[in-house]
Amino acid sequence: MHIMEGYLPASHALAWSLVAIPPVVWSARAIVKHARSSPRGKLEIAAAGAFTFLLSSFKLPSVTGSSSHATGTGLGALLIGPSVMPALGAIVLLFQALLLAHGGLTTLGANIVSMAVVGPWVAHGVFVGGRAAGIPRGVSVFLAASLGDLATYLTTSLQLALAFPDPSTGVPGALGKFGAIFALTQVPLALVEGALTVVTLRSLVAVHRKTMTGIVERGES
Amino acid sequence: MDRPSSPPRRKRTSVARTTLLVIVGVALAYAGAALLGDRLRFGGTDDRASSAILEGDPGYRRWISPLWAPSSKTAEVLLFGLQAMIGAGVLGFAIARLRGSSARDARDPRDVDAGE
Repeated sequence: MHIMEGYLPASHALAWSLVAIPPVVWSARAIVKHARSSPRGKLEIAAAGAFTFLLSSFKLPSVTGSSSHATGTGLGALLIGPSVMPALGAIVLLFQALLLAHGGLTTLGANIVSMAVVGPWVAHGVFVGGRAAGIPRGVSVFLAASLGDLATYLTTSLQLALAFPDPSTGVPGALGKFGAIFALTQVPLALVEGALTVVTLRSLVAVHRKTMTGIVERGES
Repeated sequence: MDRPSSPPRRKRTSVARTTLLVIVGVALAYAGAALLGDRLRFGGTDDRASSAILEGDPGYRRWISPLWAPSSKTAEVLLFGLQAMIGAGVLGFAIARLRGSSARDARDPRDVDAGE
């Protein structure tokens, strides 16, 4: 999902970088606060960060003959809250940009916005909405993580469409073009990500039902 | 005096075991995906997006390139593997420790230490 280095015009790269700064700074504070809030806080932050680190390294083959990778940002968004994810996502994206030439420094801001801001908040919103609508928790988690993943790719498509509008059909046409490349290949991966998030969250929550369920359910209040 | 929590030594073993299990599981999944991807010659979505940009706007010049890139396909796979291993290790450790701390209820570990 990462926009590769140099594939956003400088003005767009700068604009997205500026947009990404406040969430990252805010989330760094949220991380410190959560890490200090309880003895388990640090471990939960570690689990959220490690999960997105792990899942974004998975380059899974996808049905349309293209390979792509998951985002893993839904787990932390549901376990702790979407506000801690931007800085964690930024670390992952920085690692990939510097060591793997995957994504880039100039496109870091745009990639943070799609993967670590939009994805986690969509996951959070879907989970809260799903629970309010009476959808069972496991199903809500699955939908939240899957749709959060897809929302990330939709955001990437929009970012590219804004930068490279179609000569005849403009931004909407370009959005369709990039969306088709990303979203279709991403659907199977989003389902995998949803399932992995359910399993991992369950292993984290079930062992600590008394306290951690409270964290997962806090989004509903 | 009876303690509801498991003895420290057993707990340490189970932390190591859970961590190891997660790492092994991830390694298998990762190797499977990498092998399958290589065999079927999957290209990356990101690359397809890049070529779509150049198709729609042939005049676009990539204005900056990565400072450093893995020198070979093998190096790239290994680095992605390294990323997966770090993630799996930390995740496994965190899950195992959170399991351990559930046995001690929500008490601060320092309270437990003080009682020993």
